[in-house]
Amino acid sequence: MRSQYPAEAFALAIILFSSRMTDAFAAGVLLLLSVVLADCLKHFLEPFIPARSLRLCVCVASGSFCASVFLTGFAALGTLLDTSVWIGTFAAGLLCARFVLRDGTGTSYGELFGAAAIIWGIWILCAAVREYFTAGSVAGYVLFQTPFQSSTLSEPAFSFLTAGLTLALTNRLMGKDCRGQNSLYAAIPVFLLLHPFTIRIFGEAAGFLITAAVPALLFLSVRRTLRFSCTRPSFRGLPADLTAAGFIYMILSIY
Amino acid sequence: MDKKEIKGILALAAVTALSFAVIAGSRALSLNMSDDGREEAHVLETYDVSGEEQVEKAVRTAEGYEVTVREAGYVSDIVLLVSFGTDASTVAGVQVLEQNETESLGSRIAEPEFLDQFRSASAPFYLTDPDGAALTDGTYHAQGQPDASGYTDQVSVTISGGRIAGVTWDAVAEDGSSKSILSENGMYTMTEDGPTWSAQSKAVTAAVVERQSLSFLKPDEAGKTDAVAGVSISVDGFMALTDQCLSQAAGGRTQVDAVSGATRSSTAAVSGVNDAYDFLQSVLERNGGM
Repeated sequence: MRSQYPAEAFALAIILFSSRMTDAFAAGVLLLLSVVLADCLKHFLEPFIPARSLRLCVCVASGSFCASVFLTGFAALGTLLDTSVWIGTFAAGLLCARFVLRDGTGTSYGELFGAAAIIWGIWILCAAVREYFTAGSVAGYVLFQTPFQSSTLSEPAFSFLTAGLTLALTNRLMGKDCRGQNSLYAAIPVFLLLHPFTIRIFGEAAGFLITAAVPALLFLSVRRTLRFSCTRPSFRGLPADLTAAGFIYMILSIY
Repeated sequence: MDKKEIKGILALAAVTALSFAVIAGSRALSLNMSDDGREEAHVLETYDVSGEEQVEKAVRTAEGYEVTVREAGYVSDIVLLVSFGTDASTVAGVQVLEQNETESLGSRIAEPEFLDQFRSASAPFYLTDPDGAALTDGTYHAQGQPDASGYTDQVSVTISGGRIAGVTWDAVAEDGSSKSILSENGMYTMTEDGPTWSAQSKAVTAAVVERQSLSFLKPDEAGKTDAVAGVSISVDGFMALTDQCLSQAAGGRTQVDAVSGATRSSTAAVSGVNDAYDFLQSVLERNGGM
C-alpha cells in the first residue's frame, strides 16, 4: 500500500535536521504545519481558479510558508538557520505542495497525522542516537563522552543514511512502501546545498557545479541499478536511494 | 481570457506578494530574535577598512569600539562582531554573525560556553595548543594581594616542551609562614577530618597539569569548584594568578580553550578576534591613540 504522508518532504527535512534531537523535534512539527497549510490553501482556492494557477499558488505559498516557519521557529529556539539550510526548507515546502497537489490528504487527516507521528518519532529517536554518537549529548545536554564518538556522524553522508533508515522503518511499521515517490526531488536540493567535497582550483562557480554534479550523476547511475535490486518493499525506492546517496557522499568525502 | 483565468492570475499575484511579505517578515523577525535584544550602539566614528582583507567594518561608539571581521572557517567564512572597551584591548563581547560550520561541532563556536572566554579578557588571544607550541618554556611566578586573614597567594607555573609541566600554589602569611606547611603540621585546620589545605591545593594543581587548562574548574560565585574531588577551598584567586603565569608564558596573550573536536573553527574565531584587535591597534596608532 502506498504511503499517505509526504515522504519526499520528510526525507529532505530529515537530511537537513537530523544531527540534533531538538532540531528533529522542531522540524517535524513545522513540516506538518506546512503540509496542512498547503492542503488548506489548495481546498480554499480550488473552486475559484484554474488548475495551472492553483498549482503555482500552492507551490509558492507552501515553499515560502515552510521557509518562514522554519526560520522563525528555529530563531525562537536560538538557532539562526544558514542560508543553504534555509533554501533547503523552501525546497521542503515545495515537496509538501507536490504531495498535496498530487496525492492530496483527502478527508483523512487522521491517516496523515498518524503516519507523520510515526515517522516523526523514529526521526527524533535516530537524531538523538546520532547526536549522542557525535558529541556525547542528547538534546544539547552532555551525557558522557567515550572514545567511539566521532564528529563524522554529523556529516551529510549520515544524514542521508538516517533519512533512508527512518523512512524504511516507518514503512515497515505501517506496512506501506514508497511507490511513486521520486528520490531525486529530495536529493537534488541537498546535492546543490551540501557538498561532499570542495574544489577551489577551477574558481568558485565551476567548483560549485562540479561538486554538485558529481554526486548527482553517481546518484542517478546507482538509482538505475537499484531498480533491479532485491530489497524489502519497505526499503524499496526512496529509502534505498537515500541510503545509496549516503554511501556516495561517504566515498566522495574522502576527497 | 475568461473570468476564471483572470482570477487565477490575480490569485497568483496575491499569493506571490503575500509570500514575499511573509519571507521578509520572518527574516526580519528571526534576525531580531538572534540579536538577543542587543541594541545598536550609537556610532561616533567609522574607520576606513578599505584594503583590509579580514576587517569588514570598524566603528567607535560611546562604549568603546566594534569591529566586524570575516575569517575562513572549516566549512565557510565565519563573521564575528568583536566589541572592545574604551581601552581598545579589553574585549567586551564577541558575537558570531554568520557561520556555516559543522552541526554539533564547529557550530558550537557560536555558543556562550566558547564566546564567554573572550568577555572581559585582554586581547590578543591564543588557543590552548595540545602540542604546546603556544607557550615558551620556563618558570613563571605570580603573587596576589593579602586576604582578610593576611595570607598572600603565590603561584608558580613551569612550562616544559610548551606544556604545563608543574604548578605550585601556596599562601604566605605576613610573618613568612607557609599555609601548606602549617596545614601539614596541623597548625592550620579547616575541618576535623577533611583533607588539609595543602592536600586540596595539590589536588587542584595536579588537575591543572593533567587537563593543561584552567577553564574546567568553573568556580561558582563564592569561588568554589566541583571539578576536583575533595576540594572545598576557593580557587578563583589561584585561577587568576595561574592565568597571569600562562599569559606571561604566552607572551602576554590570553588563553582560550578550543571547542572540543572543532580546532579549525575555534582557530578561525580566535584569529578573527586577534585580527580585529590588530586592526584597532593600527588605526589608533595612525590616529595618534585616541
